[in-house]
Amino acid sequence: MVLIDYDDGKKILDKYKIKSVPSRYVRNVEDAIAFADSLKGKEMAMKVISKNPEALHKAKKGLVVLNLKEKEDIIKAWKNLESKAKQFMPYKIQAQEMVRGIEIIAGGRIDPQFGKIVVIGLGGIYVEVLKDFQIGICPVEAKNASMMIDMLKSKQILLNSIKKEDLVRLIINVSRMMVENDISELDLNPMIIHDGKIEAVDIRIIK
Amino acid sequence: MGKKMKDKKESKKIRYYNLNRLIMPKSVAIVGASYDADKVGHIILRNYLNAGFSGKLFPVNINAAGDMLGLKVYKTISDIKQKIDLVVVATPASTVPDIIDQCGKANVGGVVVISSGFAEVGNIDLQKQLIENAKKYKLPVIGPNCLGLVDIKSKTDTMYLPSFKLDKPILGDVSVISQSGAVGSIVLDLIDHEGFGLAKFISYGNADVVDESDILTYLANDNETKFIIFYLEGVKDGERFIETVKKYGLKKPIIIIKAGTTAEGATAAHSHTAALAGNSEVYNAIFKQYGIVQAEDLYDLLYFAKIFEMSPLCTGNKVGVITNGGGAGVLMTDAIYKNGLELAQLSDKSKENLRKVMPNIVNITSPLDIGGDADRTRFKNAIDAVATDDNVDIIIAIVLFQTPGADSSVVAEIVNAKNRTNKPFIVISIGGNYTLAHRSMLESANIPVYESPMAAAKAIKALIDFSNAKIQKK
Repeated sequence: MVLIDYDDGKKILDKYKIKSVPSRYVRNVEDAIAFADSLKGKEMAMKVISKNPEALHKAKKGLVVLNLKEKEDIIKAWKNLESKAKQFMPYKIQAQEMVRGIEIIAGGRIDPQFGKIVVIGLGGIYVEVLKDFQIGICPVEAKNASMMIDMLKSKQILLNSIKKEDLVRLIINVSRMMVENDISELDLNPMIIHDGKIEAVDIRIIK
Repeated sequence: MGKKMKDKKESKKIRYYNLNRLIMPKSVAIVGASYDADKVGHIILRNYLNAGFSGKLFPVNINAAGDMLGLKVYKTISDIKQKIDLVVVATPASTVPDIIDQCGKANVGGVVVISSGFAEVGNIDLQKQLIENAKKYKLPVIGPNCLGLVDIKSKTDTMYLPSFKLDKPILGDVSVISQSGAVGSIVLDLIDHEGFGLAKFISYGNADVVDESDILTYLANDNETKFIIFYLEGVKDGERFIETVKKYGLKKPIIIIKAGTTAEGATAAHSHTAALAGNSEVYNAIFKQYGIVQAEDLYDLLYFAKIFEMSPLCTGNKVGVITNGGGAGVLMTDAIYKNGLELAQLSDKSKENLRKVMPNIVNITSPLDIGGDADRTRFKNAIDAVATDDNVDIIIAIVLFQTPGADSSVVAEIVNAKNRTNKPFIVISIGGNYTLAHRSMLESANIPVYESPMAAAKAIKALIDFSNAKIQKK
């Protein structure tokens, strides 16, 4: 099990035209402030990225700070994250534009019996509770992708914010990405639907 | 991983798609045929004789001593020296690999191994020997640990169940595949009661040589099989199964009931995706994606089969309901909407026509309640109006035979009306012996009858889903 670095994962997503929110690793607090300035008034999030398995549930361990904009808040957040991250060495800190919208999950895995599959569903904190998701067997064609969306209970919630064809394209792209790469598990959770687009906020690719 | 990949390639080498000699044999040898009337081998031989199998029968018993049920007994397969299409093996597991080898040498058409005592009880070595010997001769072997085959047309029947305990189906066009012998025999026993007949029955047990994908492929290409009923616990080769259902899932309806779930997927999860998409979820996804009709329990299986057997495909979901009982009409309406169907609204023209022929007590609305005193004429007029209405895709007549006007003359009107339409026509009748008698009249005229509105609505939904998937694929 090898977890792919976020930036490398982003490159793979780019290749399949799967969008992700603007983000980069920041080396120090000045760097973080510079990134925040580049967002031109939009809020920023900072997260600790570590391969330590204990650090996987970032929110639970206090490894994420949201809604950052002012310089002094960023400085405070930086200190806070550094102190909590010590136990998860080595680590990096990632700064990311904050987006708000409807959270979905897109993912894939290799089923031990049937091979590569993709998953689409309502995401974020609702994944485990509502379990509103559909599976497609790779390669997923447009017709199957459309059927998967039709069978989601949250279909209407999603389609109020995004065109169906965009979701269909996302599913097909995730399927292509699974088929053409050596990926055993993929989690884009959450991807956020906002302003008519879908962007990955967290990228988790396991080779 | 390396070893696993290699194993998979091995299993891909031989495919057993032509099972004609095995399933429709002209000559059958029964190894383990016994003089003892309680032994499995004896029952199988007797069943062949009772069924009037017209081909050659060769009882085989290593201790052969004189005729058995009037037939010459052979000590071994090699002694027969005539063409053998099917060999049924019902001897102890330890003797089976050697018998398979003899069958290979004798160039038989195929083998059904009824015997148990292989991998299912941990005898892996014996299983390996069986597989190796079968592969050496590319010999199709069904089982072990199964009930084997029934082919109504060729009167082959390898089941060791005493024939008086099981209602043998008549010749029809449904084929049944079952991983479990017990469930398979229940389905077999009930088919006749649901008013349809059987083409082929295959209980395949451990699937060590011929597996589910071989059998599905064979039946998908079998001209005598119109659709397939399938009881599945788990597939032997996942990738081949996907290839197979991708190719054939929509060629003919496959109605499946999948039993058993495992936590295999969830235990190895490093991601949300893996945690969500466990084994049973993936099975469900496969069935949905490739147009396989999934039944939730055994009754669904039979109810779905009935509509596929007796109705044309249908993509519209608007149901026109005629009823001679108000309450039953309300229950039907609930069941229609719960299953994603709609109540058809009659056209103005139909309503006008109905007003002319219906008494004042009949409210011309949907569902169309024609009153507890409805007789054959009222049924005829109502059904004709609903069936010819373009807003109606499917017709349901609820006939409560407890009412004074409902008798066999109503049955006659329904049968005539059904023959005038090419839309699916379903009857719902609930009741005791009087009702049951009329139900069987209707079913012998190829009208599916259901006892509950919910069962009917679920079956209609299954028919529509399959029809839509099939049309979309074209």
